[in-house]
Amino acid sequence: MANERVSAEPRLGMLIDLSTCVGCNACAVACKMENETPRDCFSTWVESWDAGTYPAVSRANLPKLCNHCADAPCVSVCPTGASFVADDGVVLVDPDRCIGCKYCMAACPFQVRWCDDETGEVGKCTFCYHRSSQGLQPKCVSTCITKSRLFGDLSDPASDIARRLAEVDAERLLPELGGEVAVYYVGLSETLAAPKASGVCRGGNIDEGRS
Amino acid sequence: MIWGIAIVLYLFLAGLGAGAYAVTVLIAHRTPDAPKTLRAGRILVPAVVGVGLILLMVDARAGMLNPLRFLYLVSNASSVMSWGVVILSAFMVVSLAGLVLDLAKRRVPVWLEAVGLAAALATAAYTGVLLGVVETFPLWHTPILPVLFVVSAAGTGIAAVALVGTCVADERRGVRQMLARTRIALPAVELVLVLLLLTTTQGGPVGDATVQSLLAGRYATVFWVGLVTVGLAFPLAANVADLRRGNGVPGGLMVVAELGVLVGGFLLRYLVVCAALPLS
Repeated sequence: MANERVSAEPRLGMLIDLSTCVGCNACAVACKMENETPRDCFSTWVESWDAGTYPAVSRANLPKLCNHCADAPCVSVCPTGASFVADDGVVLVDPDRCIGCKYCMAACPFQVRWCDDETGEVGKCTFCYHRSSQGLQPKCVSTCITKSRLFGDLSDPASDIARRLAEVDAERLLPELGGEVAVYYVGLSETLAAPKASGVCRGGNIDEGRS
Repeated sequence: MIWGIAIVLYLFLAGLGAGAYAVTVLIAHRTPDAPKTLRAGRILVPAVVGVGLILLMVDARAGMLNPLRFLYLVSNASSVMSWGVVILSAFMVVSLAGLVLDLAKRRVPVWLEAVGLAAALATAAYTGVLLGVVETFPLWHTPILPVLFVVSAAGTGIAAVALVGTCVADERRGVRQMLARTRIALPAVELVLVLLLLTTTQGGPVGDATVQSLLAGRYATVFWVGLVTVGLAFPLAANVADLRRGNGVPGGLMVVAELGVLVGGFLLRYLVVCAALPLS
């Protein structure tokens, strides 16, 4: 998996342990306060639903955020070059080049981009670039009450995240799309396998139809 | 839903303009007794494409608020939208040049018409490719979409010019007989393409849910009544009847059929844009 890459280029990534995530949404709140995203716009959120059939029921929690794809569709479709891949493999938007065409929002396989109603500019998770580029952790990571989010350099075999990835059987969302992502999960198959017994709470909205 | 009615209208108008341009070239060469319809068609093309482009810019709010950012639009050669900007600009320039020559009572050179036809085809196809490269929406991610949009563009272009021509009393007859067989073939081919699009939609459960919402769910009424019946089956039947009876179908009914083609062209874009579900 990602940790097997031998490369001098740093590649920031995240590993989320679903077996310990309790769906408290502290990450979503911390992200919103740190990045001051517009109203109704979230760069990370937790999707939660009831899973299983009585009496074997549980609460499934699945945090979502930009997967910082190596070959990012949002970057290749952006007509103005506003979406780009920064150093460390982080996908960012330069708001001064964004015209708000929303092509990137359509292209994103994970549907994690939002458009600011007021400015018309598109925004997204930056892995808290103002922090992570200074060696600090993204706010969702440092806030997490169960330490479910692990963050670091996927290319550095000595990093906490690379060592953890070597131990666990990490999975990613939409593996059928191929390409390389920077967000991995522990326990994803189990979480998605149990039959849904309720609507999905998605960023404060109840989404009945889909996962 | 990421894109709304403004983008739906833009896709519809760009296609209509492309189709109408092809029709004006045909009229210029094959129907010499319809000069007013030809003139009207030449005005119609840049007008509808222009309205579409304005809608596109208004929808891109950050660009409207900072117009200089539109200068960046061609800076990413891998973006289909950047190609579209070049294609649409070329099409606008060529169609306006043709109109200016026509208004100046000069002949539109054949090479300019050839460039215009190429730009028109590129415009119609581009509106499908724009969506077609997006893997996130299974309904869009198919090579059928550009073909379907080109066929629909031709149909709506003919209908729009035919409606304009119907308003010119002494040219009504010629315009009505224009492209009689094509007007039957296009909705028939489009029906097959829509069927193909739905039966070949990939994307597992998400693709299935999209098709389900069109055939029997949230968008079923618009799909069956609006697109299939009003937009395709009715114009097809009316044109078949009109050809068989030697223009025996009442003129008013044929006007309704042309309007149906336009409604169908709009609803096709509406359904493709709005009913598509994302992978996540």
